[in-house]
Amino acid sequence: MNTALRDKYAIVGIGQSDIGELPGRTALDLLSDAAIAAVRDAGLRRSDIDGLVCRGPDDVYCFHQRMGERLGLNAGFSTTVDNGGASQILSVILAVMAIEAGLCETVVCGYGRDAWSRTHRSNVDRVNQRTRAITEENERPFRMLGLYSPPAMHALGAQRHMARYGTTKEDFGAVALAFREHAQRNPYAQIRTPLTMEQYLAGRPIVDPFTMFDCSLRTDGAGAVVVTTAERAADLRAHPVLISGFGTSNNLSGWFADENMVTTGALASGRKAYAMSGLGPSDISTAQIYDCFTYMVIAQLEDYGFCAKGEGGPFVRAGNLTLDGAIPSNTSGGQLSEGHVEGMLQVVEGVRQLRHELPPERQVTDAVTSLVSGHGGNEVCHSTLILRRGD
Amino acid sequence: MAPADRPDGTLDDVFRAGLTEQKYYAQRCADCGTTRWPVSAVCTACWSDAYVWVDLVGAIGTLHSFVIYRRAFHTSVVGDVPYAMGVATIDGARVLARVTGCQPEHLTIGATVRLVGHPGAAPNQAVTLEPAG
Repeated sequence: MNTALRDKYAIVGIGQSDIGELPGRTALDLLSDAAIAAVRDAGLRRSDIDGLVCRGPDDVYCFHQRMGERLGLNAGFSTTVDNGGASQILSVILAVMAIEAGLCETVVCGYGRDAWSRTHRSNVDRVNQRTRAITEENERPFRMLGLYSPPAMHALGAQRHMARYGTTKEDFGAVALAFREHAQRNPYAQIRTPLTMEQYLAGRPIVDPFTMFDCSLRTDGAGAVVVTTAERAADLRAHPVLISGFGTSNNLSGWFADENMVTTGALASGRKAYAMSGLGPSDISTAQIYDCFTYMVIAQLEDYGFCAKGEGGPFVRAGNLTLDGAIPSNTSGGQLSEGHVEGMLQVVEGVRQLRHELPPERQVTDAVTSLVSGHGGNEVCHSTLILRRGD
Repeated sequence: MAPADRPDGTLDDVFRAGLTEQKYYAQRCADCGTTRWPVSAVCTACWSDAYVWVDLVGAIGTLHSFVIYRRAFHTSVVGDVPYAMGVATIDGARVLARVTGCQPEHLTIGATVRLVGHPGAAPNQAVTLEPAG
């Protein structure tokens, strides 16, 4: 790991669009809102931005160009990222790499999606739940055999984790309940109704062992951040939040291969991020873990070393994820309750916690470090970001 | 016997056509012997492009994981719910199929399973995993 990059770059602006059920607003519309909010939050202007790393629905060709055209930007560096849920942290990493290489100086990173709208246009859309167009090369022979949808792919992992380590439905429930409790403190969260373990266990079945409460939300929404050098950050409006470390690791051999369903890319990605930052799991104040499904939180907490492999179930049941727990996690409600914007809102929340600008009922007391994870890309791509409150 | 590669189709077409004859085609590398599925142009272990088709119907393996659908995610399988999908380790490869021949609630990971052909069944149920304990 190149420890010379530790704390050399910073996130200086954060923004998000409206989130929820927003028919009539495209991913480009939503990301425009988030990007402009992030630039204004940084106290910057359009003319200060010379980089754009972003992502939208994966079937939009050259999304970054369409976004840049709408924002009236020309860029020293811009691209669309293609690692599924790991893309949003990867966009921040690419921004750092591009600035380090001298290609640009101040980069907007963001993601926008219209997943609720795409899955609610017709009854067929409601059943099929597709968030992107299907192409032959994309789909492998899984669909023709009857395997559809991310819930089923991740449920395969959950089932194996349960069989290997004795993880229970109540363990998954503890994740859903903790994040729902956090969402109740977040006025922007998509779902804020209280959730009890009884209600959780009686949830509408989706694909065993998952019920609806194990699955993240269908959301229209966008988030964005502005990345530049720590040196420049010192002169800007917000308290600097430094990028202390990052990592990536992609088990491209696939979700079915080896033990990839149980030991994720978070293990190797996390080690790199820890090494770059000089920090370890016990140094982390708050974690924003990619919670596409409850089970994935448990697997990643283990892989990041917050507990041993196989002990994630008891670890979450012990209350460690709550605001006053050992590792307050997904403090905005996460994708299970705040809204599923593929981890982008979790980057935003990781920064927000370190600025100490949240109301007391949402603030992790004295938070100095955030770990943010991104997972996706056919279930095996992973990215990690470790942020630190600047001095 | 191994099918001839369809000159006008892809390797996936071979697999798809195999299902209509209750065959579950994987490829075995002619150089290193590794069995791979889904089909692909080169061996994932040694990058050799030499292979033979192997029909895994009848082969025994172990159940790596499974799920039970309580809700359909495609209009074509609405009438099939509930149904189980399994991933099994057979001949060193991880293969995917519908699971039949038992109550899905009774499935256990690590169980011995076998790929079984079902003449006349729809393509997505033409070859399924069944318990072979």
